[in-house]
Amino acid sequence: MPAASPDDSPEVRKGYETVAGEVLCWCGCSRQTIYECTCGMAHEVRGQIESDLSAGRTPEELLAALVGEHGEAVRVVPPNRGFNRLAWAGPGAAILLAGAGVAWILIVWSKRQPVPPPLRPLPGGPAGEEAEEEYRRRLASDLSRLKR
Amino acid sequence: MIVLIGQYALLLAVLTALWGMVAGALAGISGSDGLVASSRRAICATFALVTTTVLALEHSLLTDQFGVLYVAQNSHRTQPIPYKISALWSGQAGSLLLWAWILSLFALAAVLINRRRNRPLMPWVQAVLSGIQVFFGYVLVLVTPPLAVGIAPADGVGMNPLLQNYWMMIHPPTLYLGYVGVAVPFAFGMAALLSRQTGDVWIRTTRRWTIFAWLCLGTGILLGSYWAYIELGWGGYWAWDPVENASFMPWLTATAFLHSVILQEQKRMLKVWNAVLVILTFSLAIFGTFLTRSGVLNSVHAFTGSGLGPHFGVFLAVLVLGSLGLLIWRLPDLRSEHRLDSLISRESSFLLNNLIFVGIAFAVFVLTTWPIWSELATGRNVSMGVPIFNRVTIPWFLVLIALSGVGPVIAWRRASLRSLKNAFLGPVIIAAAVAAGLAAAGVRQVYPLLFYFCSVFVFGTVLGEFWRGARARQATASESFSTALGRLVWRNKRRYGGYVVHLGIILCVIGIAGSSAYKREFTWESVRPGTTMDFDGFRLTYDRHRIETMPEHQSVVMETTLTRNGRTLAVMTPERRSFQRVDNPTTEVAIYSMILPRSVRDLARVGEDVYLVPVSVDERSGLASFKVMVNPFVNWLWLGGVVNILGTLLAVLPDRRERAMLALTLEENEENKAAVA
Repeated sequence: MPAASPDDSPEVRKGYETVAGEVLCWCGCSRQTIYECTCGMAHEVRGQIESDLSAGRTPEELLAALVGEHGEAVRVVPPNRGFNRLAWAGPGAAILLAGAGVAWILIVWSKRQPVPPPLRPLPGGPAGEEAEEEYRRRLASDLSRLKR
Repeated sequence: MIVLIGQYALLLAVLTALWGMVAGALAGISGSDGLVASSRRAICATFALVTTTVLALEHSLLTDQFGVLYVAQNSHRTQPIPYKISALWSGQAGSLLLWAWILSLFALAAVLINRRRNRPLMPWVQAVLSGIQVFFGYVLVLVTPPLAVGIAPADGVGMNPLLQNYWMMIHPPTLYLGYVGVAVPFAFGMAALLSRQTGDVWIRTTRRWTIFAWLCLGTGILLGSYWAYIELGWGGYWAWDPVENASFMPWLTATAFLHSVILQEQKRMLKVWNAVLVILTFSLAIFGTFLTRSGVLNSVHAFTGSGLGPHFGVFLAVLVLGSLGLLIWRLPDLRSEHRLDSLISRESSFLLNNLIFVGIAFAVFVLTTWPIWSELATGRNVSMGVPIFNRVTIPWFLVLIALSGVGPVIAWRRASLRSLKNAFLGPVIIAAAVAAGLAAAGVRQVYPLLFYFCSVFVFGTVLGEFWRGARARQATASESFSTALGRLVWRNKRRYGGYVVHLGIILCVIGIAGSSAYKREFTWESVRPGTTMDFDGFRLTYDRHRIETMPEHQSVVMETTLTRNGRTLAVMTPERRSFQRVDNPTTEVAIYSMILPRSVRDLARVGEDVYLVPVSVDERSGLASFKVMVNPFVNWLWLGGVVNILGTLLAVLPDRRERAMLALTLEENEENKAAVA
């Protein structure tokens, strides 16, 4: 693999990693960078990047040339400026905003008073006894069903 | 003849599905038992007819009928039989046919299981499921027919070599089981709104369907990742590719749904939110298919050119607007008492977890579709790669992981300071000690440290729950610890199954964090056979190369031996394959996994892979270039997936208590109805 060889200067190696890692391979692979892709074309492009850097071209020049040749979509991510700034910052800001909304809802809910239970006739009266009996019967039935 | 039978069966399936939808809706309006039964029979017939079409296409694939265009495009004479079978889902029409078949199977299962239950819901469930079937039938008949015929070539093109992999055989069907599986809770949710039975019956009835769909989605995603890892040769398993994201988004919202339904069951809260989540999850499942099949991501202009895009676009619009419209219409029925006793409670942690799951799904949605918005707004196409997804989502994943340790342990209603201290102080101290140890050992990157801190914390809290539960049982039932633990888990399968799933997720997190942050790469260019290469404590010897000729391809196999401290670990044989019908040679990587340590010094390497990529080779001289990646912890990810499956299976095992609760809810509903009448 014509990656930057140990003989290359640190600048060339760093530049190589920058360019090859920031450009997507256009061979039809599933969105791998030139650095990662195992196809023959990526192999050749890596060699070209290395020789261009060794010849004195800067990583910025090479990136600009590749974008000029293959379009903006060749970059692995769009630059964080202009309209694309929304993509970099928007989702996180939206989650934070929604988080503030949820926090507000939680505070509102926690301030609500408990709903008082419906009024029942006092136990002892005829209606109260009947309700109590019905309640006990229902509870026993439910509990026995749960035990089964 | 068989092809013709398959074509007519599909045509008839659209008609039976149409009748299933109309009869179901009429039964829902009129309450007619006859129409319910008729709709049910239509669903049975649709299943039989779609099955006939599937069998006809499989027969065509297995018998090399290249007059069928799909067969000519996705198979050829020498294609191995397993790949001829799996060619059913390697192309667009076949994939959609598989979608339709699984849907017909699930619809059949749903109506048969609920034949004598859920009387008010079932007509609408049948109508909704049949309606979805009508759409897929329509697409398969008019837009992308799987059994379309043409002039038969002498041989077919064959399946893409990258898809000829065992994991690729099972990955798409698993994923489709998940995509289609969410149609059932969606149908029950819509039926609940349509029939105004907005209690928690639909949620209890579909709990297993939801978990099953969630499990299939998650397992499908993991199988796809594993395939990418062993087949694509770049040493990774997740690239935030739109196809991957398409399955990840519904998984995220389904996970949120699985948590929020607990709040509805326990506290009668979040009825509206649960309906929103089930709509969102199913819409995202359809959106995923739309995204990957319409070509819209290549360019907005490809949207209409693909043929399928506008149809899916319209269906998606009808689905989202229709179901949200229905939800708004039924809002008065969905009022529930929302009250929190304290901000520090399990309720709050569940709400926070829901926010983050849906927030991450939203972020993934925005970033995945950004090329479309960019092209529309600026006219320029852009790519959205790994760095931007990582930057936007990783902080939220961290919060989510921490919450997965808090949610199961914190008390319902109100958590006291003492209970918080009991539950969390120990795990926090252990996690901090581990993080400090890692920092002292030289780990300097912030994210891995935080991930490992959170992982240890979650392990501590979840295992603490097992420990406390078993000890409490021991104290009251005088059982041994193991018996108490076994009975505790068996009698609370749903709860402890969920805990096991959390542990599985944490294993996955450890695998992802370790393999992403500490991956090491080494390259060798133009090495001759006989050369030795030293890296990271290993020695790799390139012994020889040989050429193998197979019916479909020719391989250059590079035989290498991996040793460590003088001991042979493995013979690794990566290949470069040249297929007759494919321009570029493909790469077959060789992987050595260190599952068990060979010595105490190798303990930290448990779960590590040595991943050998043959970058190029000259078939005559054997002169080759290699790339070696050492991927630490990567096998923890796959192990986490297995633990996840086991936990989920435990959570869905039949449960007497749960059945009784459902029966009780149904009975209460009947009594309430009778009282109202």
